[in-house]
This record gives sequence, C-alpha cells and structure tokens, in this order.
Amino acid sequence: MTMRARLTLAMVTATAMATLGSSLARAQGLKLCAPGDRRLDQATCLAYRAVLDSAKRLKLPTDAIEDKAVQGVASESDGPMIVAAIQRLLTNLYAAKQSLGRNASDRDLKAAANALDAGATTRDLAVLAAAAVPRTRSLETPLTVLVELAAQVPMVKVIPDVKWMLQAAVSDAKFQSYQRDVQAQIALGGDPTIVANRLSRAFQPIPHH
Amino acid sequence: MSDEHERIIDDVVHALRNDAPIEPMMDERVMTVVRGLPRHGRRHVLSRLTRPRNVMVSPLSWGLIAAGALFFAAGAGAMVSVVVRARAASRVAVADTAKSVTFTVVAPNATKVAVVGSFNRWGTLSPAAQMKHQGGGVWTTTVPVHVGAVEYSFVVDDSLWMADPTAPRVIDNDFGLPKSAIIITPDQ
Repeated sequence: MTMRARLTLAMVTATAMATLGSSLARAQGLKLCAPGDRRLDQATCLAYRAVLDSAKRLKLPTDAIEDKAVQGVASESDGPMIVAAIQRLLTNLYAAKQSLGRNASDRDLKAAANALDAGATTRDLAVLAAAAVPRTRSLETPLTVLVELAAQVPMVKVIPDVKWMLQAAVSDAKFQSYQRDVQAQIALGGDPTIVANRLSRAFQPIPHH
Repeated sequence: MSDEHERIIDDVVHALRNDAPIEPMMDERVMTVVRGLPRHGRRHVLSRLTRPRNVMVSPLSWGLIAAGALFFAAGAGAMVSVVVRARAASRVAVADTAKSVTFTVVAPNATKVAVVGSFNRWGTLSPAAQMKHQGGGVWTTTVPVHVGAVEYSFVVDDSLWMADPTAPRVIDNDFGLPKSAIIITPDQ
C-alpha cells in the first residue's frame, strides 16, 4: 500500500469515527460532559457515562440519572458526592424494576426509586404493586404521595394505608386529596401517624359480618 | 532428416488423425467417477475467501473506496440524527401535555428569586425560572411543567435554597437540598 493510500485511508477512518462519535454522544444525551463543558471533572464524567451506559443497557430511564447529576451540579456538590448519588439512583431504579415488573413505566420506576430512597423496601413495592386495582394502573401518584407522607409519618405506618387505598382502586385525584387532608390536619397539630391512618380508613373495605 | 524418419512421422500423424476407438461403457464409467467426486461446499468458498492474496488497487479505486466510506459515515450519522430528532420529537410531545403552573413564594428581603426543577434542568439562568416581584415580598412566575410528579425548589439571591412552604417536602438524601414535590395531572 502506498503512502498516499495509507493517508487517504487514515483520513476516511478518522472522519467516519468523528461523525459517528459526535452523533452517538448527542444520542446518549451526555449534555453535562459535552466537549467544552467543565461543570464536571474528568473522573466524574467517566463515572457519569458509565452509570448512563448501565442504565441504558438495563432499560432504565436515563433522564432520571441526568436530572440527579444536574441537581448535584446546581447544588455545587463535589464529584464523588454526585457519583454516589447517581449510582444509588441506578441501584434504586433497578431494584424498582425488579419489584414492579418489566412492564413498569419510566414514571413508575422513578417514583418507586424515590420511595426506596425514602425508606420503602423492595418487598413493600412488590406488595403495593400486587395490591393495585386494576393491576395496570400507574403507581406514580400513590408512590409520590407515599414519599411525601414518609417525610412526616414512619414508612412502616404509611405503607398499609397506601396499600388499602390501592386495593380500593382509589383514583389519583383522591390520593392527592388524601395527602392534602393529612398535611392540613398535621398543620393543625394532629399526630401524623394517627391522622394518616384515620383518613385512609375512609377507603378501607367494610368488613362483612 | 532421413527418409526413415519422414516415414515414422507420417505414420504417427496418420495414427493421430484417426478417431480413437471408445469402449461402449466409457460414458457410464466416466459419469460414475464424476458422481463419486466430492461436491463444492461452503468450506471451499470459505477457504477461497480467507486465502491471502495480493490485490492490485489503482489510485482511482482508492478514491472510490474513500468516497464509499464517507457515504457510509454520512448515512450512519444521518440515521443517528434521525433517532435523536425522533427522541426530541417525543420530548416535544411530552411538552405538549405540559401544564402552566404558577409558583408563588413570599420572600420579603430577597432581591432575586428563581424556581428550579427538572422542568428547567435545575438552572436559575433560564428566563422562565426568574420570578417577578409582585409587591409585599410576593414573588411569582408561571412555567410549563410536564404532567406527573415534579420536584422543585426556590433559590433566593442565587444562594439560599428553600422548599415551598405550601407544598409537601421531599427528603433529599443525596445533596441535602430542600425540595418540594407536586403532582401535575392532565385535568388540572
């Protein structure tokens, strides 16, 4: 092969690699670590790309990972803290998928990952998913309400309340209404656990004697 | 050359010009042998493809190969761009289901307040993030927010993060950010 031929081949290969590389980088949504972006250092970018790649391979929502990393940047957290956060989120999303099933939507997975972060267990998620009526209903709102209540009520206490409501096919609007009522009564001085339980009884099935 | 040699050559030529006698079973015997030979298989094709050989390539051919490679790269790039555009289009579709949400916060001593969340990539620089002072320390802004669960915070004077006191708080175990969460439904 002549020198000219080698040069031509090298140029063609370099052009093709550059075109494909930039397109793939855009496709993977690596906005934080785009060329010229200095918001994350090199080591953090490597870890970030690895987590994004893992999420993609596991068919988990990558936008949740991106959002978490952006939150870290916005709060001026250091690289290791951001890496730890996105790795934990990846683990939670994977565990959520295992608990809710392969057909769970991205929104459900994100809400379930938040629930795990707030103290729910994978078993709790599986129990709630199994209790849902109909089985195909979205769990996003119930799990978000669960996370919001868990800020004031112990998770162990609030799980049964949400489970009853799911079994009673309570609508998303009623879940939100329930959450607002609980917050309002807590603001008036009510005991969070007692208030949450008492208000959820309205949705419990009436026992037949 | 002697007459003897001339005669021998003539005899040979004469003998060669005569039709050779063929046995009656000749055709059948030949075909039997041919049918017994191994057939051309994939291994022969593979060995022909993998056998090293010298190939002469003209400068014009190199040019054609280079043009083909560029064409392939451009095609692959275009395909990836189409995928990216399709994803962007799906995001637009999500944005179409977005609802306008008005955020309000009371911050009497603030000179600047912004609302940040996943809807603006937690950036205070976007114009929609900047809240307007309505007087009496009340700050508001209306931004499009996608349907579903939304987490957000207020950033006062570019430094102080605060949760919405009128909305449920979300515990942030990662960065310790004070955050609130609301659920936007399509019928809101």
